[in-house]
Amino acid sequence: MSQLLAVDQLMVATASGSALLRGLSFTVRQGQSLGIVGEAGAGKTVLLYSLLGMSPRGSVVSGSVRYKDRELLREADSQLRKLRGSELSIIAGPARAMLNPLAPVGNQIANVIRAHRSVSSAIANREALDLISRVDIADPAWAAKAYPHELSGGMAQRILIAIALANNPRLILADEPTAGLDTTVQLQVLRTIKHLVDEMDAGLIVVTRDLGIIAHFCHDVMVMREGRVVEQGGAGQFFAAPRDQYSAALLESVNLSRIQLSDAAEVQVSATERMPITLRIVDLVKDYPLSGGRALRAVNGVAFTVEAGETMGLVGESGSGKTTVARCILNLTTCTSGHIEFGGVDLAAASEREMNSIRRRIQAVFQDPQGSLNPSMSIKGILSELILLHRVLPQSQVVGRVRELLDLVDLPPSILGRRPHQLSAGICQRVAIARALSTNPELLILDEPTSLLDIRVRADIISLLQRLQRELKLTYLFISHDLTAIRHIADRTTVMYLGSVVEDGPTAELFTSPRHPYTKALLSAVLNADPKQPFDPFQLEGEIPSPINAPFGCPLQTRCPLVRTACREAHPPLVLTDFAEHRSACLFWPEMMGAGDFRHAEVPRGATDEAEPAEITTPTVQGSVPYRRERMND
Amino acid sequence: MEAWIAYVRARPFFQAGLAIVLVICAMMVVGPLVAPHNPVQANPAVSLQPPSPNYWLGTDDNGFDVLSRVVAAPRVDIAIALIATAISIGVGVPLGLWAGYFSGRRGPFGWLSEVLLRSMDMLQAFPVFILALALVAALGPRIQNVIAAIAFVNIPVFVRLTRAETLSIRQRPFVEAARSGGSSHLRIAFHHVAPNALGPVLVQASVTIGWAVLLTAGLSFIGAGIPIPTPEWGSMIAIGARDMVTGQWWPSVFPGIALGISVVGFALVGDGFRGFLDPRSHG
Repeated sequence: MSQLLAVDQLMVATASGSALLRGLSFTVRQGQSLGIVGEAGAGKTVLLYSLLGMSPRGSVVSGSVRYKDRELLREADSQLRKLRGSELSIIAGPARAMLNPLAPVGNQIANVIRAHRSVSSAIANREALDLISRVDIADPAWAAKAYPHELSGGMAQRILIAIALANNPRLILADEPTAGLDTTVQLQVLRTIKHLVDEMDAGLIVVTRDLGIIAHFCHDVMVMREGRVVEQGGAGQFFAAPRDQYSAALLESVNLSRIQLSDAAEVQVSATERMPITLRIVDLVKDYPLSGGRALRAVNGVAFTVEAGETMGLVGESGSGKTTVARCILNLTTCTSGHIEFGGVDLAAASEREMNSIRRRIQAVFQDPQGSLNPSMSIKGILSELILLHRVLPQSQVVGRVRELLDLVDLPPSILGRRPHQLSAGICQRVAIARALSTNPELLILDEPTSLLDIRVRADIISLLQRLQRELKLTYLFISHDLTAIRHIADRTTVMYLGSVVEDGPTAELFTSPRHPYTKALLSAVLNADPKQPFDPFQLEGEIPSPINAPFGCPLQTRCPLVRTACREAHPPLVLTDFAEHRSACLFWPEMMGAGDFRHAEVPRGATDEAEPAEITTPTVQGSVPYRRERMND
Repeated sequence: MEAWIAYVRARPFFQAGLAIVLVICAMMVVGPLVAPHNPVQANPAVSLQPPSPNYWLGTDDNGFDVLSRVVAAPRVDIAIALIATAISIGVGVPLGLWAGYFSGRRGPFGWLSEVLLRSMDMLQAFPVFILALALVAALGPRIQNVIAAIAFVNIPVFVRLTRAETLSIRQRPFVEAARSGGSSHLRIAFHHVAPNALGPVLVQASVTIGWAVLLTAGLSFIGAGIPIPTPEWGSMIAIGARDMVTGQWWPSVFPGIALGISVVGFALVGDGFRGFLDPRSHG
């Protein structure tokens, strides 16, 4: 295979002299896919754009970037422009922001075609239509005329892929190509990219923070840190035994479930013992009024309980209503109907005074670590605020308590005088956790507390939360779309889809034996950072509909392969399955246990050591080894 | 603090603005003391003298020393502008905070915020100068009334600015975090929202002071402001204007230059603050 791209000692520094890339060397062959992974600030995106001659303005670039037999760093901008979008193309995310909001997407594809080839607009439009159907969009004629805001996130991403492929590129650069997409959609999009790139026998560079994507879609891996390459090599070898300490740590934190859980056994025991109920949600409904007297039902009859000392995981993609549930519990919004029982009070009907006495017993940690701390306050002010507000302690003891809180979340007292913008996201999230603990709460609502963090930090925060739960006997409601995190921390899990609970049960059971097609699809879309794990996804069609157009009956009916008439006639109730505490809202769940079962055969280590990505095939062995049971067996 | 010093060091215009404002504020304090002659005592014997070693900037029609009056005037002009702007902020910022935080019929008397905003619209529909002139004419040309009029016409600027800031700040996650922590609306508005809205208010204040100086001078120029003989740039220009046609330019031009420099100075300072508060514009 001929060499497409050879990068040698590439260095990029800003005008003021700070180094962004400190000497990178790598090559990409035709038909090869290279995955570049690294945490925020590693220089991945700078690298991609520098390859296209689009390094940050005023920066100093040295080294060599050879594409075929041309030295790109020495090409004139007019020459580079001819290459960009034709031989070298880029796919970035989030897609909708990358498209021109004022032009139909079909025209945007045609424009790219005509920028590089002198063809009539009729031919360009026909080619655009053809490209749209190649990226698996169901109704190309409609999509070509649509404006970006009319497309779903997944469709917009497919349009970007079509633009990137418009002029038969030889090398495709993908920068977080699935940023902002839901898990089930992410997999569909990645498979489309992979399929088309293979078809064209082009080279592919994927930049991502998600090692799972690399494990399943790339031949080679390059790990970057602070502008340097810390490890590069074949994916098979990397995932089996990373050579570098940093990349090993990175891999370790992705495979949360591989970390030995000292308290795994304990968790299992506490799940079987009945504990008093801390929080009980009954038939919660939340409507948002729309114009014209209609209403958007964000939460549709959700019910679950959280027992004292346990972690309830609430899972769902964007639009599932999980955050709205949290907002109702925290009384940030009033629910339309239903009950939220906590400490003998119905929060849904509580008076302001009752609510104030409850407030300090329920605290929350939010998604955006920096954003949820007031930028004009010092860390000391942030941590002492709630103590003083709720009169938890007299003024004289506040400073001592603040230091104690910092100690609890492993932060040094030296940060007390700092402000949030001077601290990293991980530290800010620790501060937010310490603030939540400052009132000695019983229940913590954790709303996506790890989803904006880098993978290593994510693992740290989760183990911190687990330690705190053990030490302080806390009860958690852990809301996330990150199944790996939920699997690691939750005792029981509730799965939501389009405002309804579709399945709930003990986490281990739900993850090994899902009893609802949605859960099954969600689980099978998770890309494990292990290329040897064969992969037979149970896929749903399309994307989550907008709650405004929620279908009558089963919420999943628009996407489910098992759908029947009965699914459209009534909202299926949550009923017990073949397990004692495991309920599903699917009428036909036993059918998905048959052919196409979502179970994996364990491939012995070392059997496929060649640097080939895991095959994505149709179902293999049936009912042999259940899906990843490590945690149960530990 | 280091960031601040580095920022100022790289911006000569901001330095010039700060220097002008400092000098003017110093004159406000010591102006009458350093004046070579008594700024409020006329000496008819030396009326309309051109600039000379004794009278550096000449004398005017009544025999006042122009230099003494130019340096003594900030005690009136700048003081009026500062006090009036402070009052505008004191009234406008809390109103804007309330209107922004409770807009959309949230909280007590949510509909009142609409009434407030519409009345601000009405105030802003009048040209500022005409409105101030009408107010002073109705109240009588005294210093307190000039201050009141200038403060009043500048209130809508601060209400709107603070409201706009508040609308965007109340969407930020830390406000939600404060609510779920149990803070009351009042506490969130003053403790969490207001401090984060103050940056733009500071920028606006600096610009408003400059305009208020101009407004004071304008009112005095047409005789609706500070009565003679109080030293004031606007009335000095007005008195001197009569002599321009006969070639005696100095009684008008020097107070005019002083007025121009001070307005530019405050505008430069406002611009500098704006840049400093906007992290995108500097490293």
